[in-house]
Amino acid sequence: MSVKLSTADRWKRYWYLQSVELWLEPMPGKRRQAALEELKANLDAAAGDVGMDAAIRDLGRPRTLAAQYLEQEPTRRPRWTRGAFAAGAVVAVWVYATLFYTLGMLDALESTSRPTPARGSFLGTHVIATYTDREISAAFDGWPWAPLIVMAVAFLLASRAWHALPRRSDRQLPVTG
Amino acid sequence: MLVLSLLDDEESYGYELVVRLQAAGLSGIATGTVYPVLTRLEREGRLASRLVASDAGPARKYYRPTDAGLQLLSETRRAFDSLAEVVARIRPTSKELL
Repeated sequence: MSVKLSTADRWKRYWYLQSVELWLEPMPGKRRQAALEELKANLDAAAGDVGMDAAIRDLGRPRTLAAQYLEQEPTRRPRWTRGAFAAGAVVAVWVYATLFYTLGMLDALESTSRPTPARGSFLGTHVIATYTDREISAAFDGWPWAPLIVMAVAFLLASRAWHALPRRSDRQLPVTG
Repeated sequence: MLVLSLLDDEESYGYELVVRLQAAGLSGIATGTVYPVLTRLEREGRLASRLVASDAGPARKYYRPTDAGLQLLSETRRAFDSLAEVVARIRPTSKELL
Protein backbone atom coordinates (compact mmCIF):
# COMPACT_ATOMS: atom_id res chain seq x y z
CA MET A 1 0.00 0.00 0.00
CA SER A 2 1.35 3.42 -0.94
CA VAL A 3 1.25 5.76 2.03
CA LYS A 4 2.95 9.09 2.53
CA LEU A 5 4.35 9.19 6.05
CA SER A 6 3.74 12.23 8.22
CA THR A 7 6.68 14.08 9.78
CA ALA A 8 5.73 12.64 13.18
CA ASP A 9 5.79 9.09 11.79
CA ARG A 10 9.16 9.68 10.13
CA TRP A 11 10.49 10.97 13.44
CA LYS A 12 9.18 7.92 15.35
CA ARG A 13 10.67 5.60 12.74
CA TYR A 14 14.02 7.45 12.88
CA TRP A 15 14.25 7.19 16.68
CA TYR A 16 13.24 3.54 16.70
CA LEU A 17 15.86 2.61 14.09
CA GLN A 18 18.52 4.68 15.87
CA SER A 19 17.82 2.77 19.08
CA VAL A 20 17.98 -0.57 17.30
CA GLU A 21 21.27 0.44 15.66
CA LEU A 22 22.78 1.30 19.03
CA TRP A 23 22.04 -2.21 20.33
CA LEU A 24 23.07 -3.84 17.06
CA GLU A 25 26.66 -2.64 17.35
CA PRO A 26 28.18 -6.14 17.60
CA MET A 27 26.79 -7.01 14.15
CA PRO A 28 29.25 -6.43 11.28
CA GLY A 29 28.72 -3.00 9.65
CA LYS A 30 27.49 -4.03 6.20
CA ARG A 31 25.00 -6.59 7.49
CA ARG A 32 23.83 -4.15 10.19
CA GLN A 33 23.13 -1.44 7.62
CA ALA A 34 21.35 -3.93 5.37
CA ALA A 35 19.20 -5.13 8.28
CA LEU A 36 18.31 -1.55 9.24
CA GLU A 37 17.41 -0.65 5.64
CA GLU A 38 15.20 -3.70 5.47
CA LEU A 39 13.57 -2.85 8.80
CA LYS A 40 12.86 0.63 7.48
CA ALA A 41 11.16 -0.74 4.36
CA ASN A 42 9.16 -3.24 6.41
CA LEU A 43 8.13 -0.56 8.91
CA ASP A 44 6.85 1.61 6.07
CA ALA A 45 4.91 -1.32 4.63
CA ALA A 46 3.43 -2.18 8.04
CA ALA A 47 2.60 1.48 8.72
CA GLY A 48 0.54 1.50 5.53
CA ASP A 49 -1.56 -1.33 7.01
CA VAL A 50 -1.78 -0.63 10.73
CA GLY A 51 -0.16 2.79 11.30
CA MET A 52 3.35 3.61 12.47
CA ASP A 53 2.60 3.28 16.21
CA ALA A 54 1.27 -0.26 15.83
CA ALA A 55 4.04 -1.17 13.36
CA ILE A 56 6.69 -0.14 15.88
CA ARG A 57 4.83 -1.83 18.74
CA ASP A 58 4.69 -5.11 16.77
CA LEU A 59 8.47 -5.06 16.35
CA GLY A 60 8.93 -4.91 20.13
CA ARG A 61 11.50 -3.01 22.16
CA PRO A 62 14.62 -2.01 20.18
CA ARG A 63 16.88 -3.86 22.60
CA THR A 64 14.82 -7.07 22.33
CA LEU A 65 14.71 -6.90 18.53
CA ALA A 66 18.47 -6.28 18.36
CA ALA A 67 19.04 -9.23 20.71
CA GLN A 68 17.02 -11.46 18.37
CA TYR A 69 19.26 -10.41 15.47
CA LEU A 70 22.41 -10.95 17.54
CA GLU A 71 21.26 -14.42 18.65
CA GLN A 72 21.37 -15.44 14.98
CA GLU A 73 24.96 -14.20 14.56
CA PRO A 74 27.65 -16.88 14.13
CA THR A 75 30.26 -15.14 16.29
CA ARG A 76 30.20 -12.92 19.32
CA ARG A 77 31.75 -9.46 18.99
CA PRO A 78 32.63 -6.81 21.58
CA ARG A 79 30.44 -3.72 22.02
CA TRP A 80 33.08 -1.00 21.86
CA THR A 81 30.60 1.90 21.88
CA ARG A 82 29.08 0.73 25.15
CA GLY A 83 32.58 0.41 26.58
CA ALA A 84 33.38 3.97 25.51
CA PHE A 85 30.16 5.24 27.15
CA ALA A 86 31.03 3.44 30.41
CA ALA A 87 34.61 4.80 30.38
CA GLY A 88 33.24 8.27 29.63
CA ALA A 89 30.85 8.00 32.58
CA VAL A 90 33.75 7.12 34.90
CA VAL A 91 35.74 10.12 33.60
CA ALA A 92 32.72 12.40 34.11
CA VAL A 93 32.25 11.23 37.71
CA TRP A 94 35.98 11.60 38.39
CA VAL A 95 36.14 15.14 36.95
CA TYR A 96 33.02 16.14 38.90
CA ALA A 97 34.39 14.68 42.16
CA THR A 98 37.80 16.36 41.69
CA LEU A 99 36.10 19.67 41.00
CA PHE A 100 33.96 19.26 44.11
CA TYR A 101 37.05 18.43 46.19
CA THR A 102 38.88 21.51 44.86
CA LEU A 103 35.92 23.79 45.55
CA GLY A 104 35.84 22.36 49.07
CA MET A 105 39.54 23.23 49.51
CA LEU A 106 38.99 26.78 48.27
CA ASP A 107 35.97 27.16 50.53
CA ALA A 108 38.00 25.98 53.53
CA LEU A 109 40.78 28.43 52.67
CA GLU A 110 38.29 31.26 52.47
CA SER A 111 36.63 30.45 55.80
CA THR A 112 39.84 29.80 57.80
CA SER A 113 41.96 32.57 56.24
CA ARG A 114 44.94 30.19 56.25
CA PRO A 115 48.07 31.16 54.28
CA THR A 116 47.90 29.82 50.72
CA PRO A 117 48.62 27.88 48.58
CA ALA A 118 47.21 24.73 50.18
CA ARG A 119 48.10 21.27 48.89
CA GLY A 120 45.90 18.23 48.80
CA SER A 121 45.57 14.90 47.02
CA PHE A 122 42.43 13.34 45.58
CA LEU A 123 42.48 9.86 44.00
CA GLY A 124 46.11 10.33 42.91
CA THR A 125 45.71 13.89 41.63
CA HIS A 126 47.68 16.54 43.54
CA VAL A 127 45.68 19.73 43.96
CA ILE A 128 47.29 23.08 44.73
CA ALA A 129 44.64 25.62 45.73
CA THR A 130 45.29 29.34 46.08
CA TYR A 131 42.86 31.77 47.67
CA THR A 132 43.97 35.38 48.24
CA ASP A 133 42.40 38.77 47.79
CA ARG A 134 43.93 38.96 44.33
CA GLU A 135 43.83 35.34 43.15
CA ILE A 136 41.58 32.32 43.30
CA SER A 137 43.09 29.38 41.43
CA ALA A 138 43.73 25.63 41.44
CA ALA A 139 46.49 23.64 39.79
CA PHE A 140 46.52 19.87 39.22
CA ASP A 141 49.46 17.53 39.02
CA GLY A 142 50.23 13.78 39.02
CA TRP A 143 48.70 10.67 37.42
CA PRO A 144 45.29 9.63 38.71
CA TRP A 145 46.00 5.89 38.61
CA ALA A 146 42.92 4.78 40.51
CA PRO A 147 40.42 6.48 38.19
CA LEU A 148 42.39 5.31 35.14
CA ILE A 149 42.25 1.71 36.34
CA VAL A 150 38.51 1.99 37.12
CA MET A 151 37.99 3.53 33.66
CA ALA A 152 39.86 0.67 31.97
CA VAL A 153 37.91 -1.96 33.93
CA ALA A 154 34.59 -0.23 33.11
CA PHE A 155 35.55 -0.14 29.43
CA LEU A 156 36.53 -3.84 29.34
CA LEU A 157 33.43 -5.02 31.25
CA ALA A 158 30.87 -2.85 29.43
CA SER A 159 32.30 -3.64 26.00
CA ARG A 160 32.60 -7.36 26.82
CA ALA A 161 36.09 -7.16 25.41
CA TRP A 162 36.66 -10.89 25.95
CA HIS A 163 34.32 -11.51 23.00
CA ALA A 164 37.23 -10.43 20.79
CA LEU A 165 39.11 -13.58 21.89
CA PRO A 166 38.55 -16.80 19.95
CA ARG A 167 36.13 -19.14 21.67
CA ARG A 168 37.43 -22.45 23.00
CA SER A 169 35.10 -24.27 20.60
CA ASP A 170 36.62 -22.29 17.71
CA ARG A 171 40.15 -23.46 18.50
CA GLN A 172 41.38 -26.41 16.48
CA LEU A 173 41.75 -29.63 18.37
CA PRO A 174 45.21 -31.26 18.22
CA VAL A 175 45.45 -34.14 15.78
CA THR A 176 46.34 -37.36 17.58
CA GLY A 177 47.16 -40.91 16.59
CA MET B 1 10.26 -24.63 7.91
CA LEU B 2 7.17 -22.39 7.63
CA VAL B 3 9.25 -19.47 6.35
CA LEU B 4 10.99 -21.59 3.71
CA SER B 5 7.74 -23.29 2.78
CA LEU B 6 5.84 -20.02 2.19
CA LEU B 7 8.76 -18.50 0.29
CA ASP B 8 8.94 -21.62 -1.86
CA ASP B 9 5.30 -21.04 -2.81
CA GLU B 10 5.89 -17.39 -3.61
CA GLU B 11 8.71 -14.92 -2.98
CA SER B 12 7.93 -12.23 -0.42
CA TYR B 13 9.48 -9.34 1.46
CA GLY B 14 9.63 -9.37 5.27
CA TYR B 15 6.37 -7.71 6.21
CA GLU B 16 4.44 -9.51 3.47
CA LEU B 17 5.74 -12.81 4.80
CA VAL B 18 4.58 -11.91 8.32
CA VAL B 19 1.11 -11.15 6.95
CA ARG B 20 1.08 -14.49 5.11
CA LEU B 21 2.11 -16.34 8.29
CA GLN B 22 -0.66 -14.58 10.21
CA ALA B 23 -3.19 -15.37 7.50
CA ALA B 24 -2.11 -19.02 7.63
CA GLY B 25 -3.06 -19.18 11.32
CA LEU B 26 -0.08 -17.85 13.24
CA SER B 27 -2.05 -14.79 14.29
CA GLY B 28 0.09 -14.15 17.35
CA ILE B 29 3.44 -14.10 15.57
CA ALA B 30 5.43 -10.92 16.21
CA THR B 31 7.02 -9.21 13.22
CA GLY B 32 10.23 -8.84 15.19
CA THR B 33 10.74 -12.61 15.35
CA VAL B 34 10.57 -13.15 11.58
CA TYR B 35 13.05 -10.56 10.25
CA PRO B 36 16.12 -11.89 12.15
CA VAL B 37 15.33 -15.38 10.84
CA LEU B 38 15.33 -14.08 7.26
CA THR B 39 18.69 -12.37 7.86
CA ARG B 40 20.18 -15.60 9.23
CA LEU B 41 18.83 -17.81 6.45
CA GLU B 42 20.22 -15.41 3.86
CA ARG B 43 23.62 -15.30 5.58
CA GLU B 44 23.66 -19.12 5.61
CA GLY B 45 22.92 -19.21 1.90
CA ARG B 46 19.45 -20.76 2.35
CA LEU B 47 17.70 -17.69 0.92
CA ALA B 48 18.50 -15.43 -2.01
CA SER B 49 17.16 -11.91 -2.21
CA ARG B 50 16.55 -9.12 -4.69
CA LEU B 51 15.64 -5.49 -4.10
CA VAL B 52 12.44 -4.25 -5.70
CA ALA B 53 11.67 -0.52 -5.81
CA SER B 54 8.55 0.48 -3.91
CA ASP B 55 6.44 3.60 -4.32
CA ALA B 56 5.66 3.40 -0.57
CA GLY B 57 9.23 4.06 0.55
CA PRO B 58 12.59 2.29 0.50
CA ALA B 59 13.18 -0.67 -1.82
CA ARG B 60 11.81 -3.95 -0.52
CA LYS B 61 13.93 -7.06 -0.22
CA TYR B 62 12.19 -10.08 -1.72
CA TYR B 63 13.36 -13.53 -0.63
CA ARG B 64 13.19 -16.93 -2.25
CA PRO B 65 14.82 -20.23 -1.20
CA THR B 66 18.11 -21.30 -2.80
CA ASP B 67 18.90 -24.96 -3.57
CA ALA B 68 20.42 -25.24 -0.08
CA GLY B 69 17.23 -23.74 1.35
CA LEU B 70 15.04 -26.19 -0.54
CA GLN B 71 17.19 -29.06 0.68
CA LEU B 72 16.83 -27.84 4.27
CA LEU B 73 13.06 -27.51 3.74
CA SER B 74 12.88 -31.07 2.43
CA GLU B 75 14.90 -32.43 5.40
CA THR B 76 12.84 -30.45 7.91
CA ARG B 77 9.57 -31.62 6.34
CA ARG B 78 10.70 -35.25 6.54
CA ALA B 79 11.71 -34.81 10.21
CA PHE B 80 8.41 -33.09 11.01
CA ASP B 81 6.32 -35.73 9.21
CA SER B 82 8.17 -38.45 11.07
CA LEU B 83 7.54 -36.74 14.41
CA ALA B 84 3.86 -36.16 13.54
CA GLU B 85 3.53 -39.87 12.72
CA VAL B 86 4.96 -40.87 16.10
CA VAL B 87 2.71 -38.40 17.92
CA ALA B 88 -0.34 -39.69 16.06
CA ARG B 89 0.57 -43.31 16.99
CA ILE B 90 0.99 -42.74 20.72
CA ARG B 91 -1.53 -39.94 21.24
CA PRO B 92 -4.45 -41.11 23.39
CA THR B 93 -7.69 -41.26 21.48
CA SER B 94 -10.70 -39.26 22.66
CA LYS B 95 -12.28 -42.52 23.94
CA GLU B 96 -9.24 -43.22 26.11
CA LEU B 97 -9.42 -39.70 27.53
CA LEU B 98 -13.03 -40.32 28.62
